[in-house]
Amino acid sequence: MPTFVRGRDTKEQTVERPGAGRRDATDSDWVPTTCRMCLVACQVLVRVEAGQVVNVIGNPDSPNNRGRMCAKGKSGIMNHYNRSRLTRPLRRTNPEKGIKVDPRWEEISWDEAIDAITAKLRQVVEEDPRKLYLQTWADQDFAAWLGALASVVGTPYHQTGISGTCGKTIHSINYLTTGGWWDEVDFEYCNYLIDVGTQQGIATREGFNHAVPDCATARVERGMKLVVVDPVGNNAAAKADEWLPILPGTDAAFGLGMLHVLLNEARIFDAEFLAQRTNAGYLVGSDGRYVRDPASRQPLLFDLDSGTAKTHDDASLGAVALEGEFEVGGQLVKPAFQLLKERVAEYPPEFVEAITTIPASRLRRIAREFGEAAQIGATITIDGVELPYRPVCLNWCRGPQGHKHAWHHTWALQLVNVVVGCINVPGGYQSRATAIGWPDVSWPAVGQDGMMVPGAHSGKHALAFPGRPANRPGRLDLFELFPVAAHTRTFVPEVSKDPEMYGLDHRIEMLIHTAGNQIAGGWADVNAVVDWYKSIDLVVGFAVEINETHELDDIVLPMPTYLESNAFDSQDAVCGEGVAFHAIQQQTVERAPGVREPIEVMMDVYERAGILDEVYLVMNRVLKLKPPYLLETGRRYTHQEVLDRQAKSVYGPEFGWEWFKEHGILVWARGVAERYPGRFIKGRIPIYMENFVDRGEELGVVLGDMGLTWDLVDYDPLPQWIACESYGQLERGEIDAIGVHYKLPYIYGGQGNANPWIDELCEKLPQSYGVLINTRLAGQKGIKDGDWIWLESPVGKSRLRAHVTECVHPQVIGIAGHAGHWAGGKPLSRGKGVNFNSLLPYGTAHMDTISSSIDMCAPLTVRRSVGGPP
Amino acid sequence: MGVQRSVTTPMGRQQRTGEPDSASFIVKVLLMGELKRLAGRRELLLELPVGSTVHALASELGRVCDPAFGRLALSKEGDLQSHVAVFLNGAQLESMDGLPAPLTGGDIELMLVPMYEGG
Ligand code: SF4
Repeated sequence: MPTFVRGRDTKEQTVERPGAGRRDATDSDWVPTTCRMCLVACQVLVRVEAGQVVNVIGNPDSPNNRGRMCAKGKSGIMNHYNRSRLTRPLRRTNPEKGIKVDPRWEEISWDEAIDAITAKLRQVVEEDPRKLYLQTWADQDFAAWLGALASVVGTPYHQTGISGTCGKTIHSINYLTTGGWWDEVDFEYCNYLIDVGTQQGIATREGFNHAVPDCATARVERGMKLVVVDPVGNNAAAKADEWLPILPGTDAAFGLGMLHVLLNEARIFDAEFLAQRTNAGYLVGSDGRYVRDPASRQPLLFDLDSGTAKTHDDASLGAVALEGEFEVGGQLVKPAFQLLKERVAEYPPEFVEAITTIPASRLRRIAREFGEAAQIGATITIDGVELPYRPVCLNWCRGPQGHKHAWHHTWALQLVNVVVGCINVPGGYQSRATAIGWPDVSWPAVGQDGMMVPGAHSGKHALAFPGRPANRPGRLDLFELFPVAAHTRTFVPEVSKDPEMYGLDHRIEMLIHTAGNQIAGGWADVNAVVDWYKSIDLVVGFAVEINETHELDDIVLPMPTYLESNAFDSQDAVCGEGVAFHAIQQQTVERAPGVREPIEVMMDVYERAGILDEVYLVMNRVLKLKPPYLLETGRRYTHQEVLDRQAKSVYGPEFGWEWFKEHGILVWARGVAERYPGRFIKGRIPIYMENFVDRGEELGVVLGDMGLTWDLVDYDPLPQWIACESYGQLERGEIDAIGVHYKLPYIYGGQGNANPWIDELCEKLPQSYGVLINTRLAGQKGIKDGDWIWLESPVGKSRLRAHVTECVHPQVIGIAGHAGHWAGGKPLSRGKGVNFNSLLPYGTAHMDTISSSIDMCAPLTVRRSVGGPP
Repeated sequence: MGVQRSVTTPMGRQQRTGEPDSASFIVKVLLMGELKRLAGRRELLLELPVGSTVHALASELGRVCDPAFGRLALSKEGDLQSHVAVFLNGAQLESMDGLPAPLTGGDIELMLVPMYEGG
C-alpha cells in the first residue's frame, strides 16, 4: 500500500494542498496536474475560476519540483489562451510546399480528415508498412498509442524525440554505467561538480525545479565547488566558481586529460570499485579482445593471490590485477585498466591545452581537486546502511553529445566518474530509474560477460553492449549499419535523398507527427529537412498553433494544450530521495470547441482501418493492463476509461483515475538501496568496450560488400579524441568561428518565444535574439556591440545583432534558444533572432559513426553588415 | 487491412496432429510489428523440450524464421536482443537475466517497444 510522504521526509504525513478533495473542475478550484511546457514535467496546481485558468503554481506535494515552477511553466497560460490556437482540422489546397509558401488551408470536418488519413494508411500498409513514419514527442501516453500502430502494421519508424541529438549517447552511456535512463547530481552530498556542456543545477535540464535550489543549497551550506566547462559563458558559467571556455568538439581531449592526471600523475582511482564492479580487471589480448576461459568462454581476470587467471564469476577470485602485463595461455595480456592508463597517457595536459585551449595548469589543478574531493575509501551511513561516499560528479549532457565523434567525447567524460567510483552512490553521478517501481522494484541484472543489464523500468532499448551484428540495411535510418546505437532516425532525411544507394526500395509516403517542430529544430540544415517533407505524399500533424513544420503538412488536426488533456505518465523518483512518485496530467478546463484528444482521434483511425482490436492487444501489453481491466476486442473506450484501467492495473481498484484526478500524485517511500543503488547492483560497468572490436569488424565487412567506405576509427574500445570537420576548418583558417547553440532557462524547444511573456523576456535580454561574439573576434572584424552582422555557413546565412562580450570563447559564436521563426501561426516570434539549424550542415560526414548523433558545430564566417534590420 | 494469421510448425519437424509427448510442450508465439515483417509470419506454434527457457525459444526462432528476423532480433550468441520485449501470457518478462525459469507453455508475444529518445 503506498503511503503519502513528502520531499525527503520518510515519515508518513497527510498531504494538504489548496482544494484537496476536488473531484470535478467546478467554478473555483485548484486542479493538480503536470506542466508540459518542457520535458521536465513539474507538478502544478491550476487555479480555475468560472471555467477559466487564472493561475498556475508549483505543487508542494511533488518531490519533482517541491512547489516551484519556472518562467516557461508560468507562461503556459498564454499558450492556452493563444490567439493563434487552431480549432478546426485544415487541409492544404496548395500542392506546392516550401518555406514561407502559403498552404492555402481549407477547413474540413473531423470526419473528412479521419477518412483521408485512413485511406492513405490502408494504402501504405498494404504496399509496404515501411512507407509510414510516426513521430511523437514528450507525451508518453500518445507515444504509446501511436507506437501501437507501428507494432501492428510493422513500420520500423517511430521516432520519439525531435532533436537530432536527443538521447544519442546520453541514454546509451547511462544504461552502460548506471543502469538508468538519465543522470542527476546528488546535490544532497556532492562537494565538487564539473558541468561540461550542460547547465545542470543552474539553468535548464531535467529536474530543473529541484536541482536549482538543491545546487544553491549545496554551494551555500557546504561550499560545493562548481566548475563549468563550456564554449559559452552562459547562465551556469556566470554563476560558477570557475568557467573554463573550451573549443567546441574537444570535450574528449578534456576528459582524457582529466583521466591522465587522475590515473597516471596523481594515481587517484577507486581500485576496489574498478576491480569488483567494472571490467577494469578483464584481461585483453593483443587483438583487443578479452582472453577467455577455453571451457566456459567467460572473460578471465588475473588473481594476484593465486597468481593465476580466473573467470569473473569464480567464487575463489581474490585480489584482481588492474595494472601490469601477464602471461596467460602462452600470450602476453593486460588488464583493461592498464590499457586505459596507457591510452590516457597520450593526453598530458600540455597536449590537451593545444587542443582545447584550456590551460594545462588549470586542467591539472582541477583534476587533482576533483580526485581529492572524491575521498576514495570514505563511507557514509544512511538509515543504518553503510555506503561509499564519493561527493564529486562530472556532469555532461547535450554539448559533448552534439558532435561528429559524440561517443568518444561523452565516453571519455563518463569514465572520469567511473574511475573514482562515484556512480549511484551518495554525492556522485546518479541516474534516474536505475532501481524503481511500485509495487515491484525493477533492478538491473547481470548479462553477458558479467556486465550490467538495465532493469525493465527503463524500457526495452537497443544497447551499446553487446550490440547487434551489422547487416545490409532494410530501413531508411540505416539502423543495421549502427550495431551499437540506440536509434538512428537522424539518417532518414539524408538516406531518403537516394535510397537506392543503400539498396533500399522504399520511401516515406505518409508521416504522422505531434506538435513538435522538426523543420525548425529537428535534424540540421532546414532546407534538407524541408526537401524530405516535400517528398512525402501525406503529412498529418497535430497542432496547437501552426508552426514551421505544420506549414508543410497536408492535414493539420487541432489538439489540446496540456491544460486540456489527460495522461497517466509513469513512475519516477528524484535521485537519492527517500520517495518515489507517480503524477498524472489532467484536463483542468473544458477543451476549446473543435479540439479533440489525439489518442481518441487515432482510435477512430484504427477503427476505420479495421485494426483497433490489434491495437488493443498491443496496448494491453504496453500499458501493463491486467484482468479485469484488459481492453476487450469489439469495444470502444474513451481515453479516460483507459486511464482508469491503467491506474487500477498498477495500483489496485482503490487507486483508479478518479483517485488520481483528486490527488494528482501518489508518493511512496523507498529504501536506501533504491536511493543509492550503486553498490547493490551485481552486473559490472564497462571501462573497455570490447564488443566494439567485433561490431566494427563486422560492419566493415558489410560496408565493403555494399561498396561503401566509412571511416570506422570510432570503433575503438577506449576513448580517443578525433578532430571534427569544423575544428580542422578553424585550424586551417577557412572559417572565422564555430557557431554553437546554447540554452536559455526561459525558452524550451521551438514553442518558446511565440508566447507573449517569453517574447517579452527575450526582447529585454539582448542575447536572446542576438548572438554572442567575443571582444577579440569582434575587434578583428570591426564589429561593435549592437552592430548588425552576417553569419554565413555552407548551408545558409543570417543577419542579426551582435552582442560583444567576454562571455564566449574567442573562436565561437554563441546562438541562444530557438529563434528565427517564420511561420504565420507564430506571429510574435516571426523574424526575430536566428534559426540555428538553418546554419548547420547535415549529412553522413557530420554524423557520428557510433551513435548517429549530428554534429552541432556550425562552421561560420562573420562580417559586419551595413545598415539596420532587414 | 487487418492481420493475416498463419499457424506454422517449426521447419524440419513433423507436423503433429495430437498432443505433444511428455518430454515436450507447445508454445504459441506471436510476432508483432517489424518482427512479423522480418520473420515473414505473424504466429508460430513451437514445440520445445521440457525445461526449455526463453533462451531455447530464441534459438528455435532463429532456426525456423527467415534470417532477417535473426539479424534484427537475436545476438550473435542467439539470445534475444535487449530491445525485444517478451510477454508471457500477457505479462512482460523483466529481462534476459530474469528468464532462466523454464517455460511451461502458453502464449508468448515478442514485440519491439519504441524507446523514448528524450527531448
Ligand atoms: S521546468 Fe518549467 S516549463 Fe518545465 S515542466 Fe517545470 S515548470 Fe514547466
